[in-house]
Amino acid sequence: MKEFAKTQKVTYNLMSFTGFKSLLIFSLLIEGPKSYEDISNYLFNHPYLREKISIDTLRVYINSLKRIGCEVKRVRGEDKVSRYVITKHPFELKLTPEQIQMVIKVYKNIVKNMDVKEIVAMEHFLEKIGGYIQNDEFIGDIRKISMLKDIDIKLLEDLIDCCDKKEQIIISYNSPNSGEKDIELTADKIEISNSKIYLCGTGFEYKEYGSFLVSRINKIKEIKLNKTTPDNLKNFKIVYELECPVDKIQLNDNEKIIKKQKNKTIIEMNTSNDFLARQRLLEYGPLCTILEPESFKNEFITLLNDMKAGYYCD
Amino acid sequence: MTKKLTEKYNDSCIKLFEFIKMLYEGDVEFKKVIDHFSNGKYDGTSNTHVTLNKYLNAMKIFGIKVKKINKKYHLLSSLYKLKFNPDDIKSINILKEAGAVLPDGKNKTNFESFIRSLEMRFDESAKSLEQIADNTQNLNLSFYHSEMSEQIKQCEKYCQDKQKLEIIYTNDKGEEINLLCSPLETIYKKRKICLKVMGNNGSRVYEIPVENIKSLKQLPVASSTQSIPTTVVYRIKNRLARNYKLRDWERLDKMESDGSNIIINKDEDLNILINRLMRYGRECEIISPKFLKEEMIERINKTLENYSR
Repeated sequence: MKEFAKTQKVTYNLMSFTGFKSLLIFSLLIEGPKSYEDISNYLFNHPYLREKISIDTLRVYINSLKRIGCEVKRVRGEDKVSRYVITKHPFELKLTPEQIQMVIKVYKNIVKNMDVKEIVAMEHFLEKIGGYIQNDEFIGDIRKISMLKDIDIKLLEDLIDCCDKKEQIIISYNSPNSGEKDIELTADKIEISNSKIYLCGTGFEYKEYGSFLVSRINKIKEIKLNKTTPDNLKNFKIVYELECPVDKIQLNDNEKIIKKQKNKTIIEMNTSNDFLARQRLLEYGPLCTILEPESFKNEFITLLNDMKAGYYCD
Repeated sequence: MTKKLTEKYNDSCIKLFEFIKMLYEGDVEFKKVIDHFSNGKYDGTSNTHVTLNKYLNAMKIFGIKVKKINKKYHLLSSLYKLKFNPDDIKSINILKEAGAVLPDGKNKTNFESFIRSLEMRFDESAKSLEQIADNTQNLNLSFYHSEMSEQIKQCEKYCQDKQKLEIIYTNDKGEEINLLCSPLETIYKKRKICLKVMGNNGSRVYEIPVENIKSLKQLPVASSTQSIPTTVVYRIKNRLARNYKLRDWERLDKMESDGSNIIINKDEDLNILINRLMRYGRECEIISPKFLKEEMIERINKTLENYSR
């Protein structure tokens, strides 16, 4: 090897030429169908070999590859030239049943921690692995635990793209309340909540930010060339106080801290959707106090009183 | 078939590929290799080791990396490469890091060998992509952080040991809570890894983010196996009932004539559940158990108190 490093010349003293040629032939045949001419020329042009092989020698190599477990097929094209290709070999990626089980288990463990892009990438990857190991059951088991099982992945990828570009789109949506309808919105982000995938954006009909179940979206009907902003878009500011250490607070994109105290933080939220805002603040329970606007605060108090009344009316 | 096997073949080619096959199956001892190339006739004086070196050089020049460690040959790169794109590499890294926190044992070994079998088949572009991914740490999964890795492994071990624990952890308000409990499992939730435990008093399930655990002590007492997690029954109404998607640990008990649904929930951390049900406002009402219904009323009252000051 030292000699090779020095001179860059390969001699019979250095390596097994037969072994080397067999490795080259193997790699050529797994790439795709190759004729005798293709192989012989490749070996002749190889800087370490510079020699042609006879058709009989090639047959011996092919017989040897078959003997070690390769499936070598001969195909004849329209040009009537025979070409050889390896369709199966003993070095393919293989997974034992225990490994398959573990891959599924680990994916199941982490899938709820991944964002949509990561899930899409992971499922494409696992599908690729399923193809390599030629195991449809593996792909089926992955589907069973997948959050994408009821979703058209191509449509989801298109929606992700629309969100990245903040496109103004019209989607055909199968609403549980009003049936199939067209919804125009400015796509903002894809979000996972309770193992469901939502498209979030500002809707033109109600002029507020909202979320739409991706599994209910039939298709993207139109991507508008010229983006507009809905007239009279709802927008209001909610200021609330949160009683917990700052390091425990997880702000949403539409929130910012405006004041920090020892164990209390004042947060400002900008929103166009009072329903979503109410849900978020209700979840905090007694840790949260709405400071303004007064109207939203009063509605919130009424809601709490209604909830309380619901428990005493039986 | 017989005819094919009697056809002329090249012994060197077969010897080399059989050696590669051995390497694919795992590390191969030098003695086994030398026996293979000498047809079991190596007596220490023949030049089989020279032949072996020629084969190893042929493999090296072709691009197969083989390393000899402690008299064993170990395959570092495959005979052929698979194509992986940047997203595939990212997915492999996510799996790899999730696998790293598995408890030691057969399962972990199996999983690691799967990852190795992929890495061995990386081409140059996949290798450089992996390095970039390693450097940028763009996975953004908090439980992958190395400083937490030991804690997670410890929690996994406690779950296997099935002995009671005394845990001190901080809640949402930042208050320290002391809990005697039986460990159940580690679970991954919202980019956090949590230790799921069953409380000592009653049958309340807790899911405590590992990062919130201040101290953890294993007690010389076996975990209670008798406890059954609390079953919570609640009603959902109107729009929520129409849109609600049941969790894996829930089932629909009844659909009422007014359109409301009765849901049975088992095995969820009651603090997390009550936060979630609070979110639903007027459209949800806890039916049982009584203590949780009272806890919800207390929670509503306490929230209302914020506005009576």
